Amino acid sequence: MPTISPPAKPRLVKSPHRQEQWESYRRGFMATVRISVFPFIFGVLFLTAALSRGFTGEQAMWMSVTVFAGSVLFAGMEIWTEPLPYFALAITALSVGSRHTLMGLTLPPIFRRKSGRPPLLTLFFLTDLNWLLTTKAHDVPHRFAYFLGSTTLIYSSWVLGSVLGWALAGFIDQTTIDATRSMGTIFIALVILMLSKGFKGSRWPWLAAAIASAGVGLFAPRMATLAGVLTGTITAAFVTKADHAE
Amino acid sequence: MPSEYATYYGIAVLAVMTYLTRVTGYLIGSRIPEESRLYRIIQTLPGCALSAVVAPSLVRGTPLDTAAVIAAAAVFHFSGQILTALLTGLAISVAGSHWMGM
Repeated sequence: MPTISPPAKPRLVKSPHRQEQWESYRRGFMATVRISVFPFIFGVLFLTAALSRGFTGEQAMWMSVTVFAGSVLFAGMEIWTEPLPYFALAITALSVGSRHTLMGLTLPPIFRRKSGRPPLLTLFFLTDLNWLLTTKAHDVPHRFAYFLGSTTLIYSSWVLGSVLGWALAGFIDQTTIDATRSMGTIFIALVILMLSKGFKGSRWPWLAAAIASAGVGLFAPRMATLAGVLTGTITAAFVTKADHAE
Repeated sequence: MPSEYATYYGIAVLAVMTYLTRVTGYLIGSRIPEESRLYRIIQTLPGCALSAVVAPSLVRGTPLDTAAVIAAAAVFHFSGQILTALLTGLAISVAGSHWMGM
């Protein structure tokens, strides 16, 4: 009587493409470990500041998880009055978040190379840090998977920091909260330095933007960023033209 | 503080507008060829935006704020340690505020 052997169990074999994606995701996650302290600390600071301004813990957590942008949240809280100025809030979010628009402009060719067009909802997670890491990861095959790996840790750290800030709010005094107002500037200054390392383009537009925004900021603080970006753009147009002609 | 409903509407406004800033750049950038001069210009713009955020803060900030930023930048420049740089800046801000009352 012939013996019937049981059918072989199907083995889950990862395709090389999937393995490459997974490896890129893992690299994005690991590259973010050292700097995940930034979103964590900002999460703590935001929740602490929000509670000290009269938001409930639930409201502050909703802001934290649905907006996920420290600079927008801090700027929004500055104009959070009764009655709530919805239009001013919208303009503030657009103005403060405009640098993410400029960062988003650079991403399509980077994501498209092997990953195709990403789901647009994933761009909710675009921050200074994962943009910086993703644009600099030249040797990573799947940059979108890398972006998601980095994002996983950044968002988790931000939410964890927010929860901790909620828990610690009563233990942090107002002087310490006020002292951390320069954290945003320190963070962005460090991002500029990281961006500058290995940057192949001209840095003259950055300098022009800094000078213009500093000058305008003395007289019209709300126009400073816009003035800087416009000046930087015009300078970039001239410098790029000059590069092209060489 | 505004009412409960008003607060949640305000949060929704911030969330939607912030998402729009994130997705709009990607959608516009999708239509720009990578080989074009415009794309090369675009690559310098995030640096311009970041510089335009930092510079006014440095000019308008207190000497303590400026010192914290410069110290953090110096530590990062010479050591390459991002965490050490951040903690240096934070320590100067917090310690300075408590001791000097700034």
